[in-house]
Amino acid sequence: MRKITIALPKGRLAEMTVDVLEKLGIKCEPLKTPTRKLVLSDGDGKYRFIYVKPSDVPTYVERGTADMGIAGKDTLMEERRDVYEMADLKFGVCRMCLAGFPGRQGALTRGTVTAASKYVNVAKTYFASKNIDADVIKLNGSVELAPVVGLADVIVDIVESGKTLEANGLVILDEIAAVSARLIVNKSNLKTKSAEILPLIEGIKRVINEETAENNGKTAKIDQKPTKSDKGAIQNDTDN
Amino acid sequence: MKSYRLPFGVQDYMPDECANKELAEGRLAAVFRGRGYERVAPGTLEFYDAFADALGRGGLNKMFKLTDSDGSLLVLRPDITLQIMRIAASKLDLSEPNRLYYIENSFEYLSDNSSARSREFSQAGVELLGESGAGGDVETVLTAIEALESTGLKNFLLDVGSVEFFRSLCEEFSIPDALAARFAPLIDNKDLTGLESALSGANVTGARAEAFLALPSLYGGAEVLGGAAKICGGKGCENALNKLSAVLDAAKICGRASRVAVDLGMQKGGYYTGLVIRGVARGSGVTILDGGRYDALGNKFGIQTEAVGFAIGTRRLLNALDNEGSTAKGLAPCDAAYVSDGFSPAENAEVGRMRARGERVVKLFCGEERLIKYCAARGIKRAFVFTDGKMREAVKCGK
Repeated sequence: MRKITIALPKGRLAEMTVDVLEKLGIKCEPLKTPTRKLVLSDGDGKYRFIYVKPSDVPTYVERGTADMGIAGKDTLMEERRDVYEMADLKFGVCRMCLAGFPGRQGALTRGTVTAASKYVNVAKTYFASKNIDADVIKLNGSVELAPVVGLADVIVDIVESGKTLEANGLVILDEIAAVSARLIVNKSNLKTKSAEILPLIEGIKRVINEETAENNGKTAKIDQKPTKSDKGAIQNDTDN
Repeated sequence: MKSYRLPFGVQDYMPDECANKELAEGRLAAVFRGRGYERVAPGTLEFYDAFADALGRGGLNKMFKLTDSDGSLLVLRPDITLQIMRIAASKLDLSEPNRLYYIENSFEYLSDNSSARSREFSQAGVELLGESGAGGDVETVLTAIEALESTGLKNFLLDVGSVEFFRSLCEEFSIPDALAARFAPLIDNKDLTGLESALSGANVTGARAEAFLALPSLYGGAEVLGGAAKICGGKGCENALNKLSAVLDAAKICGRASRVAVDLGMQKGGYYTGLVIRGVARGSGVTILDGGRYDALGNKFGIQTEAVGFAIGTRRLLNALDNEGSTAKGLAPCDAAYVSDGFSPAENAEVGRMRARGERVVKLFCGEERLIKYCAARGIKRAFVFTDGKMREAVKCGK
């Protein structure tokens, strides 16, 4: 059996991926021990993990240095690398949004809009699809600051809770796409190492589906009570 | 040493690499010739207009452009298949099939300087014009296998699919072209999540949605064709599957069943109309061979001809060979080296005879001691000396 190389995005997504792999019986202790090493192996030596900057994951996978990797849909939309996108891991959930000051939607229809974003390609594609002429400014962080200090009219960024937007007086003007972590695979290696890669992909999908089913079960239980009382309310209304 | 930079996406082939390239290209050409293909060498520059109808906006933007002295727009050839179509439309007798091969560089205008692609790339490929149906598909796939094997590449696989299958499915389900164009890249990238939302966004539901959602997972061995037959009963899909089945059968007869895999999710854009082929090598991570059938491309050039072919990316092939340790390294530049105290009839005759036998002989202009050092450093097996018109072996020879 040939070793599978998996590119993990340093940070939270990597940790969540490790949880999934552990449920598959992969010995992940070496990945949980704090270390500065960037290349790690699992306990059985079947997998090699490389820790890279999140936006670099698609590059490693496209070139086949990593057989597979975990990347946010936001990164995939921005980087547009030629890879298979084989599973939605359903964690790291957020939204790609257009945001700005409330009541500024009007600004989008006249003249040229100035937009700030880490996601220049995403922003350009979005504005083109809406027939809006936009001057897109590339920023590397604290994008929310741009409208506040007058660098840009609007921003294109990922929004999780919306608290940073709120704290800076900004609101979501449009939702561009739903974002979550995706399992990506090199197009050649899926075929040339299928005996090793396919079972792992199936395993990961199974764990994710089980977890989703479990979570749905929980939400369904929580939902049940209000549904009942709602029904009750309606019945009461009709009674009256 | 002065420092020079190369523009991104181009490269120099140094002697070792060139030797390996020449060797591989020679072997590929021998396979092509053995099957009756004739070499053509189209020019590097073309008029932009020649391809303007054949390529979409994306393709046109990826051509390097220059302006001619009369103001017309020129391009560096983006693709030899297009040139061969131009040649077919203007110079070939299409009443009989034509088999052509080429070994040339093409150019792609890239704006992303971190791309895994090159802006100038060498390709060796074949085009079979005028053979419709499964026969041409079979010949193309078998030629591709034989060509790659001839270079000594061991661990490779040809993925075959059919864009005809997807298109027939769309036709059967009355999916308009614009929508099909949106689904195709999602299917190609096996992006089920994206495909699901695109399908529901377009109100494609139920059995129709299920069929499309099945496509990305229809890859593997011959059993895939059986699975594919279940999702679609139409004539077009059936035809597509029959042709793929003929390809698999032929590979089996040649004892090459393990070289071919099926992927019905493979959706190549551009001009493909039927069979699509992608060659991958273990450990190389990128496509080394690319091709398929494009029966409608001729229409864009005003001709009607079935066409099928493939191109092998030479650089990528060499990298794959390198990964397998099958490329030669530190090749000796010659078989023998000598020094002489003056040009004599004996030297002329002796060295002439050696070269006529195919030996590579180099003359140095130095003393015997340096000759020996030179040969030792380069692994040259034989060193000799001419003094007073007489030949003798050098005092201490080779390694």
